[in-house]
Amino acid sequence: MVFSSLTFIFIFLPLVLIFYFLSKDKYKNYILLFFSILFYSWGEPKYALLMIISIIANYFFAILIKKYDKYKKIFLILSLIFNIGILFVFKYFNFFSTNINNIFNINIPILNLTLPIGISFYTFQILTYVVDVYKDKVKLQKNIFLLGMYISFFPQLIAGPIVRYSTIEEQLKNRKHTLENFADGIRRFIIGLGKKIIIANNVAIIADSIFNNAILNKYVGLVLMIGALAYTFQIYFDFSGYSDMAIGLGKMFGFEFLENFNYPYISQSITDFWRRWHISLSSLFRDYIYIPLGGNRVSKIKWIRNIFIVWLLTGLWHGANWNFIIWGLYFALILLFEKLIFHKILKKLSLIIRWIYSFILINVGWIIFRLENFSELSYVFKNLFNFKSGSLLNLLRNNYSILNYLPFIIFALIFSFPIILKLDKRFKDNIYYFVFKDICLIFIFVISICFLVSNSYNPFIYFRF
Amino acid sequence: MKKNNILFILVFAFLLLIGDYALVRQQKNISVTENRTLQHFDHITLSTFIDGSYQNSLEKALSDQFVGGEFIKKNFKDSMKILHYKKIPSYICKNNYVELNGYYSFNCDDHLISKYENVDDEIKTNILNRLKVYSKINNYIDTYYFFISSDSIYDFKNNKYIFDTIKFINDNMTGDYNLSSLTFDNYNEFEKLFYKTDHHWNYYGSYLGYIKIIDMIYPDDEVLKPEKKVTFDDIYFYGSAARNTQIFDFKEKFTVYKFNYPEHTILKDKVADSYGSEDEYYNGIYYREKLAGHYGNFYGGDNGEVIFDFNNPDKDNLLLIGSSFTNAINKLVASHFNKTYVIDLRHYYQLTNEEFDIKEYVNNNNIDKVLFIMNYGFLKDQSFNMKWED
Repeated sequence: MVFSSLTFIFIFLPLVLIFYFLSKDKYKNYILLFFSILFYSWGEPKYALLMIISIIANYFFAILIKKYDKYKKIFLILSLIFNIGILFVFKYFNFFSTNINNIFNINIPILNLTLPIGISFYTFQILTYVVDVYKDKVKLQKNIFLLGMYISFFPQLIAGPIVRYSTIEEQLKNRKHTLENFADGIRRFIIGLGKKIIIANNVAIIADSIFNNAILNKYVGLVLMIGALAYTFQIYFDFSGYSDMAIGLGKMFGFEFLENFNYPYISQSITDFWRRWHISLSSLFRDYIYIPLGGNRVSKIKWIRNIFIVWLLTGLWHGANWNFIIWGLYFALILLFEKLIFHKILKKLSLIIRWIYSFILINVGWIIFRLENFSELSYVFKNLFNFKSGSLLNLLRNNYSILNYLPFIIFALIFSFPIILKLDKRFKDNIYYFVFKDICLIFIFVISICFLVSNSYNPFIYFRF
Repeated sequence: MKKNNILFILVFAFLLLIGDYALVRQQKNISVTENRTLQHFDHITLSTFIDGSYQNSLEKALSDQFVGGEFIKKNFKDSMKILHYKKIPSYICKNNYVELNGYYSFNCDDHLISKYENVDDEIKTNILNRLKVYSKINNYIDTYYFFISSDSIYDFKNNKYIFDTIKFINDNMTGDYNLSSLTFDNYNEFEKLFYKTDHHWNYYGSYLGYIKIIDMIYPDDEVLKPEKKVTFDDIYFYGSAARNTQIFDFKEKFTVYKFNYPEHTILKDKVADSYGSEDEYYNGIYYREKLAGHYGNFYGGDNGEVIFDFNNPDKDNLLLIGSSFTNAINKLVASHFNKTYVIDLRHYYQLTNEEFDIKEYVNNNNIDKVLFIMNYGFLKDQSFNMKWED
């Protein structure tokens, strides 16, 4: 089940809200656990069992870590092996075995397994809990149902944000349900829904039309750039839209999740970009990999090594394919370049230049991210600055309707900037502004539903992670 | 702000209730505008839940049964369009195919057509296997083949067939048979024969096809001539291409030839019935909704078995195997025979729960001649396969 579906909006959400708010406080978490398992089973009936097994196993790992202080490191390692092992089998085994087979000309069998939805997200969430118990950062959760609820909580289960146990620990026992939070939760949900349905899905059509047929239709130059731009907006509005929906849903149930995006496309550098994009993941890698490796408080060589390890893992986390590894290392190189050489020069450049520099590099990164096929990737990079005439004409002949979707790129560009945030601050004491904003949100909700009813094109990018 | 929050929550809840109303009201069966049956809410079972089919059907049912869903589907996407496909600039479309939501316009014309496709080895193998069966039939009974050319095998830009189906049939089919065809040599000829926004042949193309068929089977027979040409002025025909692309800029009035058929009876799927609604149309009784399927509504739909009995005991019985293309000329062709058995293999199994056995069918119904009316789609689509037991 996805949030941007009629089933979720008109059946699942009303049901869970009714049961949740009609039940006594002591049962609320159990209601959420039940519905979260149902939510996951809806899309992955068989793999719900895998998630439950994971919850149970890690519950006991944490108990063992807490109980046997002398052997806690061993239990932590076992937990890491168990969790990363499962992730490896489902997500990375085939990638590694295919490459080993190709290099060494052997025949490791390929597993015929589908990737369980959200496995990367909930695995990392579980790991943060176990590691934090090990480090005594959080208290052991003795109630397996509450732990299960934290891990499987449906708002952030399948596409984040990755919620650390430490941020939610207190809220599990003690959270406020206020009218204001509930209304704000709905607002946030609608914003996310609109981002996903109205903007992301429509710019996706442009990106797919271009990239899916780039070689066949010999698209070059400007057409490829339009494709890159469209994909840049697609992935942002798709993913941040989903995060908004998750945060909004959490708020409806009294949970406060941390922000996952902070207008990443206004970044003034790539360093800045990674403080604004998928914040929950980048901070997780910082706190659980980069800092334990020594961070930047080690020799230069080791620091560079740490950067590469973190970004290699970041790339791999996103997908079991070489393009994701290249994507991660691409950003590692740029970050090092900025930190070692370019940061002083950057400071002297104007805001516009810094923005153009960042935006171009971000776009290029997304091209690498988008194209998992090497021949497509090399074709696009060879032809990105090939301004041979006729390509745009070719695009229009192959997909004239694409013109209908170009306005959505304009919307995407506008809403990539914190315009609404600035308006909220400007009119914070003006009740009419907020009434007007609510009317707009209702309109966005209605339009989104119209899109859902009339349109079947509703892909989710971060679903496969 | 508190009042604002309450009002906002109430409005949101109200909108949810509107959507939920679909779950409790009587379920709709047909969408006239989409010309299809609507998904109902199924009962959940463990197996359908585990394999995911229940979840898919629930989402589809919610969309199909949504309050105002038909209105939304009909108007929403249309209203979001900024393009007018009639006004594609000539430098884009002149002597070129322009893709429009999966279909094409050629040379700035107002037809929605398919672009020629690559006829790969797999398709050729499928056609070869079919021709092998036909070759056996040819040795068993008088067999006739009528092939209708289509846009899927013709390159209008270069004015050539990318797959010479007739040659392929003649090179690979054996036995005693007759073959005729409706072809075109350029775009102008093509557009005279086919609807603007539907894959079927139009009134002129189908009548021409009928003449050629009778000329092949009974060259001395006089063909039925139309009484007159009738255009239904208060409706436009938006065919399959318009429905699939949701492009309604191209349209045409629905025009037919009116015939005075000899007396006959009809058995449709084993039940005495009428076929098509020609008389109703002439009396002004027809759907006027935008996407009403006039081709099927007027001529008749796709049924497993339709038997036309013109009570001509001196004449032959015909087995006519085809697709929806035959719907337009079933009665015309059948008027030259005693009984005509029209079989659509896609629906025959649903009707009888048995695979179509042509030998058995021919023997049981005293068939004298077999006519296949086919196009490229009919040949390559495996749902038109049939068995032959030696």
